[in-house]
Amino acid sequence: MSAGDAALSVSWRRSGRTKSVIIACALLLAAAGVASLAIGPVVIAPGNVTSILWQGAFGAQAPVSSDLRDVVVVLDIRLPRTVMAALVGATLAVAGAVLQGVFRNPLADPGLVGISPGAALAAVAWIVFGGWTGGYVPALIANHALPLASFAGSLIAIVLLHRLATQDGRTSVANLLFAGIALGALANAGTGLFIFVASDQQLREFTFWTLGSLGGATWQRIGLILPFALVLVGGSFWIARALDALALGEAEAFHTGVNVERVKRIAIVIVAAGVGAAVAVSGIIGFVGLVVPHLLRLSIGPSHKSLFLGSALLGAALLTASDIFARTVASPAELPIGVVTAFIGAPFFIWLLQRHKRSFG
Amino acid sequence: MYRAENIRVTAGAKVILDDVFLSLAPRKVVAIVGPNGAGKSTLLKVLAGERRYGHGTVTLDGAPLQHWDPAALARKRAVLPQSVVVAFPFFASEIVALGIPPYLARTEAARLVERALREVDMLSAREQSYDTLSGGERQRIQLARVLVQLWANGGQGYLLLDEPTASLDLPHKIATLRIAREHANAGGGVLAILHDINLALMVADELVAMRAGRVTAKGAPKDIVTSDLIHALYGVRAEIGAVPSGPFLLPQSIRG
Amino acid sequence: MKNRYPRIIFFAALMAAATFSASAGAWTITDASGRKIEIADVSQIVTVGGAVTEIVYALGFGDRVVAADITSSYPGEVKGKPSVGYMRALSPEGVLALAPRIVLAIEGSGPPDAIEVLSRASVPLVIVPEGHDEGSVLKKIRFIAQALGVPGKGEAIAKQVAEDFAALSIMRAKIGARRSAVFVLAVGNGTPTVAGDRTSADGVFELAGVDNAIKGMNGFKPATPEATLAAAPQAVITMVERNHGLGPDVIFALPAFAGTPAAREKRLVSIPSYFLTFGPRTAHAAQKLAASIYPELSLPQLPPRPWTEAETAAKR
Repeated sequence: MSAGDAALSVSWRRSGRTKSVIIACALLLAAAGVASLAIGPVVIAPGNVTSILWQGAFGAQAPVSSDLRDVVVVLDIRLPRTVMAALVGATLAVAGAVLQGVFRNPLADPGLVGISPGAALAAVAWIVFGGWTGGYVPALIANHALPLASFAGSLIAIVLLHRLATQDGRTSVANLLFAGIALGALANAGTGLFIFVASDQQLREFTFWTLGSLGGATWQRIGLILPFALVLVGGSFWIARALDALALGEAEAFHTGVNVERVKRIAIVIVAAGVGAAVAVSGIIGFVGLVVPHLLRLSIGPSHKSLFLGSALLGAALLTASDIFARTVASPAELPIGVVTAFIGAPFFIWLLQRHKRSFG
Repeated sequence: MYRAENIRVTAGAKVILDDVFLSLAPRKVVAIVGPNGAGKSTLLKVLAGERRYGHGTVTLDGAPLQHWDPAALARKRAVLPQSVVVAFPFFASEIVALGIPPYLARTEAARLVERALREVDMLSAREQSYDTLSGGERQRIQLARVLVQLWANGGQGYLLLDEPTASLDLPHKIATLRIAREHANAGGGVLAILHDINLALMVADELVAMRAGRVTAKGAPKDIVTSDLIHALYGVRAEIGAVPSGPFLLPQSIRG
Repeated sequence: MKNRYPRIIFFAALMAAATFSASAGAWTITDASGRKIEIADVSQIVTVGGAVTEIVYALGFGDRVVAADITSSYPGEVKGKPSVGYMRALSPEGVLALAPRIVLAIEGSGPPDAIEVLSRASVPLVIVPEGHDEGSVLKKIRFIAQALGVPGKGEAIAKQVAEDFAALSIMRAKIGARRSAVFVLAVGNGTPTVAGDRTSADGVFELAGVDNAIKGMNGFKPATPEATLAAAPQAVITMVERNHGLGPDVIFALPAFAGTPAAREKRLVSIPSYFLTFGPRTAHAAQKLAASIYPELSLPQLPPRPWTEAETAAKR
């Protein structure tokens, strides 16, 4: 039992609503998942999709004679892609919610604290100079070099950030923010330098990477992100109660028995792991971490335990749905998924701003 | 038993607390009075375990404060800050529930939250967003949270209150002092920073008068509150009167 | 013989140039940006764009090239000359510092501001029309020859190149069932960036008798893996310079290609970047591409030309 539950039970107005919103998010995810398996540039009858999945799951012979190509499309492309969209979406949304809790600010975002800029710098460095390594890098590593580089970039950024913001064993959230902005600016400058020496093709590759894509979804990559996503989501539930208390302020959270320094450390580590892995497999996808927790806070309140559960479900649903759009609307070309999420996210924020303006007269 | 000995706190070259001795026993209400900048809040923070001190020792039940881990400390003492800004739109009842430790059963937690809300006369506002409440209402919600924290751990322990009555209306000031008194009567200890001398005189078993980071007087209110003490603390002259129940200060008698 | 050939051209050109400057003094040309440009002196040339540089060398003006951009890597000796940087990131001062008498830049050179500044400088800037078919190659040769004041020489080379294209079209006629291919510019994070319509890759495919598997998309864009798979390409083409050491085992493991006929037949061809520059070697490039896509047809090679052998000549 946690304070989250206690808070729910003492607020009868919210507890019922939270349950129904969580259920709605789960249903939305299920619907997005089904649609993502059924819809794509290759037209496959829903019956065929079902039988192919059945076949893939149980090794049974498909009752309908399906084309080998359809089997490949459903099992090797759509299924891993749907799973990865859900994992990345859940990871980004929960990471946003955790960061917002730690920073006590609903606008905190992995981009703000230098994680994504660090990943971007490493990615562009690989894109521009990776070719020089030529045949010396084993093919297996070369194939995953971009994800590995960006993962390393985000980890280095977070370690530097933590070092800069910590003094005498205490991490100041304000310093964390300043250091994050400074590191981000530095990383962006480095990225700019690489862009300057990059060729058109490299530039194009980097630009598409910064806008995100789930096109590289394979079971291998799902294996890469899964442990980090689990660490993030599991860790977030572990510190949910502490983050609730942290809303009162750091001193006040300490008064209620929270080991504030430890919670901040855990939060930074799990967010870096989750975001680093997500950026590694899918590039930079904005707005999910900002919009999803915000939307949920409006409907079920700020209590972190239910916020994390809802964010995981709604983030997964949102990214899965966005990806359907990204891969079908301009087929055979693929719209960068970051463009889709920004088109959904930015107007939503403008709407929020308008609403706020009105409420403050 | 809280015991602070020879506490010295500095910030750069500035000495904020110096040579401070203080003890807080169960069943006692200790009030700290003194002008702005006397170091009262800093002393409270030192006792809360929140503020580091360069010199001296603070023990709680015999063990140095730095040996207590945050969770164990939270079972022994609760702290009411001057004002709390909450980052997200929690409901009033949810704020109160933040005082509940993780191991408490859900029904018991709900019962305690409701009792505390009733105690501070905020039951009707339980489903309101904390940031829509007035300053006084917020302070009462925070008091409820602090009470719940100690109740959930046996109902004793120490209450450290930083100006608990600052933005309250008269009836709620009296009610807050009554709550503090009842907590002491039930076996807990209370340390409260109070600006209103009369309220301090009303509730305190012991008065600690501070000025410029030092304790200038300490003892039973009726023994130490004199016109001279008021002058030493605040630089104003006032007459101390006494009606049957005890001494009091007449604000209208203040001369500059 | 091969050694001496360019030198003869050079002397001929030198004499021709001398004749022109003596008699006419100056000539005018309308470039790809529509400006009328007066040219009097071609003694020092800056070339921008691989095709432009190759044509200038083929015309025998190689010794007058004072600098070229980094996409100009042929003939080999151009690599020893000063570089003006990447063709889309030119710096006006950097170009003019080399004291050229004329700047020949392929259409699409940039950035636009730099082109604007250069076009207003006292040194003539001539924009060479770009295109990705047989006609554009001939047009580029004739245009550059005209800009350098040697239209006759240009006509002679254009005639030979046209013969190569004619031979290529006879070769194409031998291809019965055309194969389809996808050109992969980069693999990035798993989403391949491929060539659609109106690209240089599409142009060379056409010349090689290969169908572009990617339809309904213009330019180089990341293609959704499912659509790439659905296009069922029979070959995958990558660039030698840009594959990050990716071999068939890696390319064909990507979901976009795993189930394609190309993967089943392990048909992956790496082409050097000049296959896409549409200079005088284009017909030869298209023949090489066709030969590797249709190995069973043993397609005949095109006759060597001075401008296709310059590399070996330079190495000797």
